[in-house]
Amino acid sequence: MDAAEERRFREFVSARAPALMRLAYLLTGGDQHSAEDLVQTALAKVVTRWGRLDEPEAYVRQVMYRQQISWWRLARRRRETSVADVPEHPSGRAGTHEAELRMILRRALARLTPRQRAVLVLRYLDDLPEDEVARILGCSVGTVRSTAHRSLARLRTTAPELADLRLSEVTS
Amino acid sequence: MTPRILKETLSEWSREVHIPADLADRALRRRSRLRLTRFAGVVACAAVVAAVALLVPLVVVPLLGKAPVSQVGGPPVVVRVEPYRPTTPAQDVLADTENSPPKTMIAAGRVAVSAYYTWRRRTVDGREAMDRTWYLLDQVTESYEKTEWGWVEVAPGLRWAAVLERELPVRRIGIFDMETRRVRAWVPVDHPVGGVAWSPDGTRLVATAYDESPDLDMSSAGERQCPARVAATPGDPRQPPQTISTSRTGFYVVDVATATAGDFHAVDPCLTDNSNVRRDFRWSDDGTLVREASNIWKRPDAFYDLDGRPHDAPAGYVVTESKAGVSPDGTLLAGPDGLPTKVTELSTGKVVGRQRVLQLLAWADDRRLVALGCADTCGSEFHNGLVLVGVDGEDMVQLSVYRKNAQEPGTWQAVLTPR
Repeated sequence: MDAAEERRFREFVSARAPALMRLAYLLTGGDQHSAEDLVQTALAKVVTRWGRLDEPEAYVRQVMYRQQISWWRLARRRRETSVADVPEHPSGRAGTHEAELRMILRRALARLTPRQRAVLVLRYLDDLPEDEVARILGCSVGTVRSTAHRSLARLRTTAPELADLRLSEVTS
Repeated sequence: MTPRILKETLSEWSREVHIPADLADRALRRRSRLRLTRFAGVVACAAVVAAVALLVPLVVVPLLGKAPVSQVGGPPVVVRVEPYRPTTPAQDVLADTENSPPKTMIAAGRVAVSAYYTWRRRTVDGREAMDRTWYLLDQVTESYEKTEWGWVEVAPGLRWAAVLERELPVRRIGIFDMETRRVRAWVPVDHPVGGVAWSPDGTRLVATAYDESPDLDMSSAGERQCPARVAATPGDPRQPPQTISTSRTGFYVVDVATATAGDFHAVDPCLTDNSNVRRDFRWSDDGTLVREASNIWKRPDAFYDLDGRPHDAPAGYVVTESKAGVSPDGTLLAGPDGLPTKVTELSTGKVVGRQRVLQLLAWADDRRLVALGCADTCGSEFHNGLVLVGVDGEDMVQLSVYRKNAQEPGTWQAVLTPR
């Protein structure tokens, strides 16, 4: 990487760091340290290919999605144990304010697996169609569909306040 | 729960993150550490999680690119780096049962499909040859990438690969960095080589030299007369061959750290009875000797010292009847091709399990094997694919698509490597 390429890389990071960090924060379930590590690792991969990538941001996002899912597999047993306990929650949703509902939803999102969160981020935050999600994650459309379904079901299980809200699953 | 609430919650949550100011510096430092660190050593590979201690050197040359080492100013150095991505998981079972050839990484236990090739027949100067197209694992994206190499051999640990350019045999060996996807050093050789194999510790290569393509069809390779010899032991059924089909001439032992091939060692192909055209040398399990696999059932492999002289088999050598051989803990022996196959206790010969598969290819751990399994009721042995199976034959997991006909041109052939 020569000086000009390095300057362009720095400009890219400067411009896209907020978006990449926000994505990493979601993928890591709200863990600042892990999010920084994830972005840093993905950017290090991009450096090695800088100049040969048509869409560096698309590449770094793909690396982040897959990397996070991979890292999670290592700690799967431990993390699954840690999320096994259903959090305490208010009984019934009567009177639950939307702001409170969002906090409950956030806690429930944090208890999903990285793959489940990745699918929800891609589908519901980025509004990507299922086939595009499948391409990014390197899996089938069927897997995306079933993961999204299970993720939403798990949200309802871990946060029963959300259970009787109308589930509206977006279809491609 | 509506998509609106979900979207707003995700968006709101993500805005809580703190944006570090030095992300670019951190990424560049990580790269620089690999590029500039200069002291000798070795690197433990990602397979530490799988409890397989493997040594893989990092070769650094002053310039990255395709120029031979001799043109980039001095020999490369070996650098010590931290274990490659120590947080990388041993993703126990990764399968791709949707794509054939596979698109996403296949692995089980301690081994992974590090590369695969598809093949077709091609006529060159009136002679038929097998033409391979190689696909190499990209661990970053956990997918396979088509390459233009003529031969690929991935080192244990999946961090490095040895590559040869097309139109084998060739006069230089590339040390390919699996992470940056670039050749980090070229090793020139005087005698053209057509195959390479990594030593078990990942520090050396044995490169097999040929006078002409080792992938010529048997019928078009032509036979050569061997000098009349008598068996070393009278009455030994292993008579020296009368003819051979290979153009193999000998081997180099390449020191990867210095990217040097050392001396060429000629080996008479008539010393062993093997009808193959491609007769690549490999390593003994302990990495002290060069080995030529026998292509005759139950016949022991032939061994040579690193100067090319015939040598006795190493102590504890076991004649194996499968690609998997002896289990990592040294107690079990994978049996010959099935169906079914069997695993025996090495010390007693007692059968400890049978598996409804065609071939036992590699040990995933001490109790599971990656095998060639067949589809449905095994009506056709060529309708097959990779599976993971327990020693007891239970818990079979399909790892790849079952190929319709594994012998047809265009089908893919997996290469398994410790990861």
